[in-house]
Amino acid sequence: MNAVSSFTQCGNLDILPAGVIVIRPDYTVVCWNRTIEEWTGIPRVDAVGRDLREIFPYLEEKRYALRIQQVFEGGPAALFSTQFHPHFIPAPLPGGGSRFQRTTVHPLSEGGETYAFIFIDDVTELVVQVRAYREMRDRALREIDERKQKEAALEESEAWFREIFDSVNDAIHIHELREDGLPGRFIDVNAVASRMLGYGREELLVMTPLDLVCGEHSRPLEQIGREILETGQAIFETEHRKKGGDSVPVEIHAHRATIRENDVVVSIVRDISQRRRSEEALAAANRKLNLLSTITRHDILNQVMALKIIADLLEMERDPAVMAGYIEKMRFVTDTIEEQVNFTRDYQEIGVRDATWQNIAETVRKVTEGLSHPGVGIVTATGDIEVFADPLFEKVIYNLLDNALRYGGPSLSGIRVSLATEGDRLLIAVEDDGAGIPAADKKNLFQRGFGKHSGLGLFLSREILAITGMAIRETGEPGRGARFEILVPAGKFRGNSVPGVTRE
Amino acid sequence: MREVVMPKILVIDDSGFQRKVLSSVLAGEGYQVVTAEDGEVGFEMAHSEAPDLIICDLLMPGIDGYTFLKMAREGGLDTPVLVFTSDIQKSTRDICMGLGAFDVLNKPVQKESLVPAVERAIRSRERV
Amino acid sequence: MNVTGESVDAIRELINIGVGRAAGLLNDMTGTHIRLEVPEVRVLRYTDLPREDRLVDGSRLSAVTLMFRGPFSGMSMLLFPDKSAAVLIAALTGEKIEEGDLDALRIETLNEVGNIVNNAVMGSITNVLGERLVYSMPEFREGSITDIMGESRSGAYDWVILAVSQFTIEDLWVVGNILMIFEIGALDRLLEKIGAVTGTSP
Repeated sequence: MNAVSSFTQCGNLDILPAGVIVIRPDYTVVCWNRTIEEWTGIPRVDAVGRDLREIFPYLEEKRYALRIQQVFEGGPAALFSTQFHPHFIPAPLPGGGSRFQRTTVHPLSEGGETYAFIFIDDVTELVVQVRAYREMRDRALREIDERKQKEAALEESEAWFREIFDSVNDAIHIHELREDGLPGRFIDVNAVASRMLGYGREELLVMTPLDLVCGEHSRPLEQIGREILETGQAIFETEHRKKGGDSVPVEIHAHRATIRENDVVVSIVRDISQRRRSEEALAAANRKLNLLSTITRHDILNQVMALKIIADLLEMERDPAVMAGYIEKMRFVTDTIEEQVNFTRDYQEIGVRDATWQNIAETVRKVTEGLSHPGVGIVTATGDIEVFADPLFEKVIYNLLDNALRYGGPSLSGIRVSLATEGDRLLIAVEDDGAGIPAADKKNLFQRGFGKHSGLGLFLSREILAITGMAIRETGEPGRGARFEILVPAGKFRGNSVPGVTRE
Repeated sequence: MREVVMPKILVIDDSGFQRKVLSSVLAGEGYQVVTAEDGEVGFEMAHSEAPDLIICDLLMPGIDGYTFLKMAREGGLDTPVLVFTSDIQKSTRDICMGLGAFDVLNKPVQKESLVPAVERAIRSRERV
Repeated sequence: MNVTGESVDAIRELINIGVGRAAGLLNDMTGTHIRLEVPEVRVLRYTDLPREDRLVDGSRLSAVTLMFRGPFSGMSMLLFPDKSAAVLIAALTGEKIEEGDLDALRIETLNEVGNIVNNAVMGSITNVLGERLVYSMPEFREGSITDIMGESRSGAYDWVILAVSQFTIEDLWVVGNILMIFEIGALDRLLEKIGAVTGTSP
């Protein structure tokens, strides 16, 4: 038949780049094209006319036979995929290995005969590409996976960091670093920074640290900037102004860092108000200790020397009247020594204990209870104000009230404790309507040794007040009453009823 | 002349098409044929009609072929059951044989395989 | 549209036979028992197809389609929910496959599975009816059921026969559907042939 002979010659099929085998329903090969010849090494003349199952016995298996049968029965083309049937027929590659194939079997009716047209594509190149693609994809997936894990870890560490950032006791400022080493805008601040300064985080993020500074730096700012640029860090002190106007002394540990590729400074800012106060108190205490160990010792030695001289004189004296005079002198000197020893005892207590916040009205009330003041009214008009003072502050008040009662004289009828302001300082006035301080005494009023009869004396009162920065002066008019004024610096008093001062 | 009573066959299949095709083939061979359209009716008729052979489909709504086989075995029914299904899986065949089927035949109906199987099944009962 | 219950019944049986053969082949390939369900055959409007509950279960589906024309025309397809296709290929080839990672080779593998199933179903129909049809090559499609059916509609017709046969590849928990859509223009011819074979009239 024509059709068969045209297959047998396979002429047209030879030009196809694919392998083509045509079989009859009994599997007799009628065409075997050149590509198949090349792949299998079996020449056409040896294949045509033979049963294909003789050449490739595995085609008898159900997975091939059933499906090829369906094609002969007029069913759709059968597809044999590369993954299931990588090598439909054996076709070694010149360099080793086998060609990967994709095979379709099509029904073909010609001249009343039915044929199966086996079309075999070489997909080796495709397989190589897909495998390369899969490898690439797997690697990409692995990398994405790794990146995701890293990101998750980073997120976790950021949350962790944020928690630490907000839960430390010190303020943390992160701000830009200018080329001259000076600070630029804030990049981030923690919750403590907001609390310390009274500004919200958003408010701070449009400011720079320099907007906050209200005091001197412990070193020139330019020098601090150079240190940060050169050594990567600087530790210094300054004062920051709060939103409400108060200032807070701070110690700053500044460290240069790189965050998200930006040159920044991470500063740990510590509120050192408490430490400042303690330091000041310590300095005062030291000053007093020095006073004790120099002046006092010298004074006592002077008195002891006087005693020795009197004793020598007494030894040589026989006149009872003169002797009585020496003995009287000796008593006086020993009294003086006793006072000086008492002084050192009292003085020792100053600055030993930490300063505390003390309510003025409360203090006056306590002191008044311990004093006998018949016929003298004591008025307290100090509201609910507290001062930061040495625990001996109570003794100062005692001393002032005791002085008024002791030296007020017959005209004394009342003592008044009241408040006023002077600049940003609080003024505590203790005044009476007694005799007042004679002009001649005013000069030595706060010298050591003045006013021997009164408890601690005004000298010690002044020293006690000085521990927390307070000063004392006397402004009364002689003959019309004494007036002692205690001046309390800003930051050392608090309360909501300070006259003339609007406070939060 | 002795009247020969031909064996009675019960065909259970939800498909009217299959019942009709099977009936015509079997009737053509001289068998008496009764039919049921589901497993439940089929199970009743398996007792009331006392057939010599049951030909049962597998996939049916309600009581399917597997359930029918179980019910027949548990109910002590000794009529041989030929399973007639389009499912050609060997695992399906194994399940049916395990449930006591006499044989499993595949659809579509092919007289050449159906008739010998029917004869074998009926003979097996006569021997019992 | 007037389709008798007998005709629908006959179509269901033809499909049943095809599905049964397909199950046998799938079983050979996977080494796993395939559980079959009673196929559902319904006559409905073409425009109602995308609303069929059994088809739209899962917004992303994979399908291997086979178009056929001749005395009756239409489309047969093997339809999987998105993940099932990858699971099936992994089981068939022994590869570890990330969900949705279907390259040319894997799609071709799925095409072969679809080819086996579709051919078995179509073969059983054409065998019984003694008809010869012209077929397309298997084609892999993904997306919603509307995407998959695409421009497959070849004539101006309203009604189609929808046959759905669900099967489960037991060890793999893969559920698939074999779906056949017969164009209504072809339906009369199909029913005619069925009538001739079964002795019923359409």
